[in-house]
Amino acid sequence: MSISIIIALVTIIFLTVMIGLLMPEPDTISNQQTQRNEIDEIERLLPQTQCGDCGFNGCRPYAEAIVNRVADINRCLPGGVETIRSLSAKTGLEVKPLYKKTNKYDKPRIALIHEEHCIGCVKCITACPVDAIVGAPKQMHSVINAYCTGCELCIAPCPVDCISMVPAQ
Amino acid sequence: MSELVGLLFSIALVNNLVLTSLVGLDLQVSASQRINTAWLVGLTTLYCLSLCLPGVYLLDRLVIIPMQLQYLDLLFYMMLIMVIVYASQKLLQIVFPLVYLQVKTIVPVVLLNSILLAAVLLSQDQHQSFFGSLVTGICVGMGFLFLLLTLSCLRERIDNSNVPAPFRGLPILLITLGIFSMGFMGLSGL
Repeated sequence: MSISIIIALVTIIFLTVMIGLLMPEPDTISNQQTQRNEIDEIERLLPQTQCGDCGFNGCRPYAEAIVNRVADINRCLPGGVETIRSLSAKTGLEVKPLYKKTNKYDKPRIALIHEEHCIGCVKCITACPVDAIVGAPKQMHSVINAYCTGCELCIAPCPVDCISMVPAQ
Repeated sequence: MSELVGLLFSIALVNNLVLTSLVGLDLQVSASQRINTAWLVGLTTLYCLSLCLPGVYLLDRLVIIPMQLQYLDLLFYMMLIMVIVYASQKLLQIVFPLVYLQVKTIVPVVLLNSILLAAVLLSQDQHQSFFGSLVTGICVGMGFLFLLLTLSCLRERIDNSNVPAPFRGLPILLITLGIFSMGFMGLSGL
């Protein structure tokens, strides 16, 4: 009888210790607040193009992923090397070369509007997160090469499919 | 094989734990607001159930029955459920961090859900084998997921229809669940 009581005690103590060890850190209000501040700081370093090239839905989700150590800091294509350096200084993670979406393209690419097909519908201008496309309704549009980040967000809205990606000079 | 299919039908549809024993109703009501949440909560419950029932079976056979500690079984079950769920959550964090981020806020809700304990007690009452308890866990989870998805689809329809003012919100949902329960009772003749 006494053995069974001892075993019961040992089991309960073992289970309690396991619960204590495995239980995740509780989401108290102060914890949430500090994490939100951290996310805010990271988000401020990101270029806010909301292009989704990193694989997340925008800059804020990517900042959350960085804080939770789910994503690397080298996935922001528009930000480039400069953003990686500042993120590395903020988070203490090591600097890595820029992550490329596919290995097909070695060079960064930018959008090119084939101007003879452009009907001037302004749809690509509204889609562009960095305002790198100039033009007006019923006028031909054009890409400012220096500002284009190659996020490909303007390709889908174009009704006549006159935008293609070309290697940047 | 036919025995397994029979078990699946009997546990997931005919004796659906939510509808017959009225456990886990809070989650059914709160998680069925959107179909994405319904999928996430249902799959997490399925995952927890399929891990907990075999674990509880092992604890039962190795510790509780040899040492005649049946008077402590509820305490043991609840603690073991917590240990198993938290351990699997930690494992998820290491193996699939992206999935973990989505599930992180749901796991505590699922953990405190009475359907886990109810399924464990159901399995213990029937004196099932190890494999049987695993299958029971999966079947109970599938029944829960099925009900949650159906309810969330129905709620979408209810939201778009013209419900009389006194029934809007929770009342019409509870009436729907009652009609559901009656409908599932009709399956017991199978």
